Amino acid sequence: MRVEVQSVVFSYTRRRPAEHGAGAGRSGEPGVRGGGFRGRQDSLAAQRTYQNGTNGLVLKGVSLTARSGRLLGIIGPNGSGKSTLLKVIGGVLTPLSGQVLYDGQDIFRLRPRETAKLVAAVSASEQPVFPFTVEQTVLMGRSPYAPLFGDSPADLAIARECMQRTRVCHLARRKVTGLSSGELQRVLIARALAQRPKVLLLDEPTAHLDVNFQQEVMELATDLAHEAGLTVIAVLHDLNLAGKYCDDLVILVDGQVAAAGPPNDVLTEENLLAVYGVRAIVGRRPDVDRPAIFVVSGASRDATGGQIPEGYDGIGEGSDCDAQ
Amino acid sequence: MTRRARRTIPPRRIATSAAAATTAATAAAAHRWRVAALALMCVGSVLWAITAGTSAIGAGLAIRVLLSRVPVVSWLLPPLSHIEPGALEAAEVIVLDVRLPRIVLGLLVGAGLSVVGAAFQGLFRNPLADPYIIGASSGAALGATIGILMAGTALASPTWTIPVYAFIGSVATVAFVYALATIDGRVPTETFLLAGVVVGSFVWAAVSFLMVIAGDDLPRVVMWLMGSLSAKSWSHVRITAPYVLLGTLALVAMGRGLNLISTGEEPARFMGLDTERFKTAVIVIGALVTAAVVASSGLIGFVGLVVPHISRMLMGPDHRVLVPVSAAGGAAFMVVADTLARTLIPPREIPVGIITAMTGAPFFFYLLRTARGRR
Repeated sequence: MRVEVQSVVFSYTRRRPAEHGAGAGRSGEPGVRGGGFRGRQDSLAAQRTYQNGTNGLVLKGVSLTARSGRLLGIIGPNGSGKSTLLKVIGGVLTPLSGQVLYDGQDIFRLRPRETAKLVAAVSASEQPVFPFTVEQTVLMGRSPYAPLFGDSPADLAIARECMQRTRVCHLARRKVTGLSSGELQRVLIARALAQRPKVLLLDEPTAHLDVNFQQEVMELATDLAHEAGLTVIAVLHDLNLAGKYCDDLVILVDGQVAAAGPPNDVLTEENLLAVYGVRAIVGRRPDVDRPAIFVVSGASRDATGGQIPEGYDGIGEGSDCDAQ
Repeated sequence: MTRRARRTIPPRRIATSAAAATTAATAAAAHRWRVAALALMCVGSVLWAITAGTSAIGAGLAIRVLLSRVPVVSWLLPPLSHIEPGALEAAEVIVLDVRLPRIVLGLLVGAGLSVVGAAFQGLFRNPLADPYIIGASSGAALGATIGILMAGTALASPTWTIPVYAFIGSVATVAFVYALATIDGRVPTETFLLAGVVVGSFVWAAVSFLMVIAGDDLPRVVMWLMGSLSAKSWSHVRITAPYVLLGTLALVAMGRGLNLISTGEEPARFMGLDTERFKTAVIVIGALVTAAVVASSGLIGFVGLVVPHISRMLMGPDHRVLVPVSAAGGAAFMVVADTLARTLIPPREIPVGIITAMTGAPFFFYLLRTARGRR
């Protein structure tokens, strides 16, 4: 299923900023270049909202496209709006303006139950409180289809199939409160798959996982995209994982798409310096033709000798206390 | 592949997939005898409550009086022999008009508080939530206290003063908490809980102030606050029953939604639950049931906290099972506690809230300790 995000503007305060175009705080595009552009910066929306950094906008006109059978990675600094964007794509947060279209259909016109049949998500922060068993947890994913009472045999079968897919069958009777992070992550992915979604959203699926589980989760994500034909959108922090596994990458900076395209075009030394403010050496992986990133130093303005490109002004607004 | 196998299968719990395939069935079977035991407990507690008491009515006679009012069964009863004239009538009054309404009210109160407790614990993702956490108790206390102080004035008709005032106070307070916590049309759970606590303490302060100026009415206020089922009639049952019965049915039907929202609002939303509407529905139902219960019986603590907790330890956290089991367990627990309250040190009555806390707390503690060992 093709997911189109069209100039989405979002704020948690749910109020439109009063002063469009007022204030001259930040101007100019971030100094980054991208390749093939599945996502592109919507310049109109950007101009409208880019002016005032303090107006509470988290997403400032984001546009991108995700296609079936492909794994789209969203990367970017902390606080750039990645997780928020994922929730908007999933229909959980309603944007101030802009659209999210699933094969042309506006996701915000659907009822939650119908939305849940199209898109499922695994969030990074879910911590179980109650001791549901793994099987009960995966069965919850069948809720959008389930009858009012009980679980149908078909639902049980689908839940079991999804548990096999993520290899958590042997945990079926274990309580989710007693699982390791890696086990819990796979259980939550199984629960998402039980929704039989067309689109799968993963918010930092590799956070808190050891290297082995990281590879495993990413391999699962690519399998789901390439073999099952799902549209998979993942927010990632590990640039090497993102570069190795994603088919397309989008860099989000301060609520805007700074670059988009294939990993080889997006993960460049210039982009990393501009976006994260780190000096990095980007080489080739020995195993596959994908970028390998070695961070040399976390740059401050001093460390790079004033070489910071125009668009970069530190992490968020707080880099120069004196100015405020 | 061996690398993976070693990692993913925990050392002590190796289950073949064939065994795992039957998990749902075996779990259901294990639940079945527990449900049967629970049903037995309910019936047993009612039978004990109907036969126990200070008046010298034999157990056989008490049960006979009860059965004589059941159609069909009454025709099959054996004829009465060797009973003094007048004794039957006295027994009928005591069993049918004194003990029975009290038992039925006990069932309703126990079920209502436990069901709301179970629902709120799931909704707020907090096993320490209870029906009173959102300000229902403080509001009812304020209403009842005002009602007691105004007894005899023009604004207070004698019979209904306290229940009606308590109900209004409870609902109004929760509504105020809800309005206070609403931000941009949404009600964040943390804000709501915080607002409940804050408004609760404010209202309790008002209650304390009224108690200071209560004068001769103070003992009545204190007795009401402790909660009791003594001297309750069928009219109390009638005002409480519709709320508790409808509310319980509704919350049982909402079990799947409670499961989803107990994993968190965002995951629940992603799994297709309209979380804002669902939250509102649970809060409104819970507030009405709690208000109806509190209005007729005062503040009986601990039931709404402990019974859902114990039920969860016995039956697991699935709210589709947990809510009805809490209802039955709470009903039985309440009837037993109230029967103890009126028979332990006759002719004096102990407020039932003291019994529920003194029996519930140690048992709860025991379960907490053993459950931790098992985990």
